[in-house]
Amino acid sequence: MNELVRQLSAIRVAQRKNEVWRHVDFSDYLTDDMQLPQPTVLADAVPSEQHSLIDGHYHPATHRPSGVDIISMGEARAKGLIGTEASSATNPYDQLNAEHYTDGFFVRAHGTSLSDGAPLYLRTEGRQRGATLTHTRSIVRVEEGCQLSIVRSDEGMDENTGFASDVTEFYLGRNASLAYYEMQNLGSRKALLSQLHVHMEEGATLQMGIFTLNGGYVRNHCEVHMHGEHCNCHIAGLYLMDRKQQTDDYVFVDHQCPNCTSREVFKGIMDDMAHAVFHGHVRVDEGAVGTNASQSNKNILLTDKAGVHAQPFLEIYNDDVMCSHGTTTGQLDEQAMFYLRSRGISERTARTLLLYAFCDEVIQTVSLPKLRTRMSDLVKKRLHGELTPCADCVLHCSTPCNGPDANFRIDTSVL
Amino acid sequence: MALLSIRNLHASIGDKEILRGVNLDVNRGEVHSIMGPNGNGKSTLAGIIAGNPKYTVTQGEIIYKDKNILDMPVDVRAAEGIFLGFQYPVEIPGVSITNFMKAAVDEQRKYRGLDPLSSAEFLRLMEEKKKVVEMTTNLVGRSVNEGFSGGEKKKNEIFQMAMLEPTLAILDETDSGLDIDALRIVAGGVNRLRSDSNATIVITHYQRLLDYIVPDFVHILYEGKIVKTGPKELALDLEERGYEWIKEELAAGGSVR
Repeated sequence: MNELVRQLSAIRVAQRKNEVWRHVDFSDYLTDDMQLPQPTVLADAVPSEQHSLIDGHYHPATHRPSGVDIISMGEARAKGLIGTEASSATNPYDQLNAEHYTDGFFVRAHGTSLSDGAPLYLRTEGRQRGATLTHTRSIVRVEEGCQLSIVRSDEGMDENTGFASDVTEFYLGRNASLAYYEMQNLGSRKALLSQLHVHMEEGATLQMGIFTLNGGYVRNHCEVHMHGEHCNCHIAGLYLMDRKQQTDDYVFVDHQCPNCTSREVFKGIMDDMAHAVFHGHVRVDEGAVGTNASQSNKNILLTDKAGVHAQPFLEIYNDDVMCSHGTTTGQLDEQAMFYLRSRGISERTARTLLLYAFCDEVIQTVSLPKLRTRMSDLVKKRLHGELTPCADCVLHCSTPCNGPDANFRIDTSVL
Repeated sequence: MALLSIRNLHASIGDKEILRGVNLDVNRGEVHSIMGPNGNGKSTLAGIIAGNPKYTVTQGEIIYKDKNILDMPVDVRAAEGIFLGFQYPVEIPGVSITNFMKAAVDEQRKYRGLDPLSSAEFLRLMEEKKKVVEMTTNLVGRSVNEGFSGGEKKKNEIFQMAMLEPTLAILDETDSGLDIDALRIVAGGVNRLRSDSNATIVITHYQRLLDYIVPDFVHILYEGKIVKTGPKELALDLEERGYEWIKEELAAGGSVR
């Protein structure tokens, strides 16, 4: 066991000079007494719609959208369904994950019509007591011309120390379409290294949203490779961190072919001593004419001790492109604040309203209406302080908290 | 005692002095118009009464309802009945007008020791007040000023004024950017809200607005001071003769007052 901890530490040290990984430091979340997760016998039933990875092991749900198959990675491996993809590791953490993962989701969307629009719900949770080190790995295939929506949550608000390395590979066939929303709500003693590797064929569309609501250390490492013309991706991120929490979002979009578009919008609010890194990298290859790419990263720092390191980066090898990037870091807009307060709204309320307004741009990118409402509520609760009652809150969630004990869970079952 | 009494007010933005000793008294039931060339401190004066932190008051006092309000927080001034209609209303995507106004109405009620309105009562109030500015758009679900035309923004300011029922309303160039129909509607709204217990200060460039909102007094703010005060006919004089004669009179020495 401690051999894995040692290997992770060694990778971290070795990658300190690698631009892509140099800010990554989860050493506080690796301890010598870490245990591998054991299969859990669940006392309570898994919600019927949420396919779950609990302590690194798959627990199926009864419901799945039509035209979608889902089995465990273990089963897929036994059936010989996993091809070359699982060995295509792109970095040492990915490599280590490929060697040590316990299980994961193997998803295949082959239906052409998801007329009901019902998403597939995936959930990852650690329930084991004591320090746990988990490796999980999933594969999502969306076949040619097919559509899939995934709502995924990473949960575990307990105080146990944990380190989770999760890799998901996405393969989008020609003209396939994927909407993928991941919500992360983890305890402050937990680190998550989440890698999303997306491969898109001609005409494929990706809509992605990553919402980091809590977590000791969260690295979202996202790579999008466009292998065909006319691909279109929109990646949005929102991170709301406080205390000593840290996020590190890395987004790499590789425009290999002509006439593809990509758009990134990442926003974050940091309170207390929280720290965030945003590293966006768009590469436009020599032949990728007609590329349209944009990156935007905006941050609000609520204290002097909160920090952000924003690094937008464009690497362009041809002239026929439209690329833009921008990053801002600051406090709340003083004139907007004055406008609200001039109507009699107190400073505290005005702040809450403006912080929510800041997040709204990202929330509005969610294409599933119910999830959009739910995300909006979760963000409101997060901004209001997750355990405070709603009575004096101005935001008017559609699902009010239940008094002071209101549990701040993602709970996609209410969607 | 006047509702509002400004004494020897000096103010600056950064190192630049803008107001150089403004004196002004406004009583309940009165409408005052402040006119003057661009860049002479009209908007600054409006902003300072409302409490815009952008400006620094270096000298003088503002007495409102017998209290010096210079140290009073912006939201408390509002709850005490001061309302500023913005020249450039701020767009706030993501904050719905309903949430914004509900928060404002409830916090002002709380300040006065009243219970918050129920949702039904509040929505009824909104529908009623929309009529003041002939607003037909459905406001529910729309963000504050986002995507509003110039006219809609100004109507929205007067709608907010109707919701909050201020004692002292300061309208900062509410007429700018309005076509003649919108101007009539906005002015009509302001007139409907006039009463013997409240007062209005209208800041404008053009006499045109004053055809609709008829002032009791017209003041000319020039180089940071009120240099001339007269009846409503003064606005007509300005319309005809421009500001040059004021400047000449001042240059000739002495106060124009």
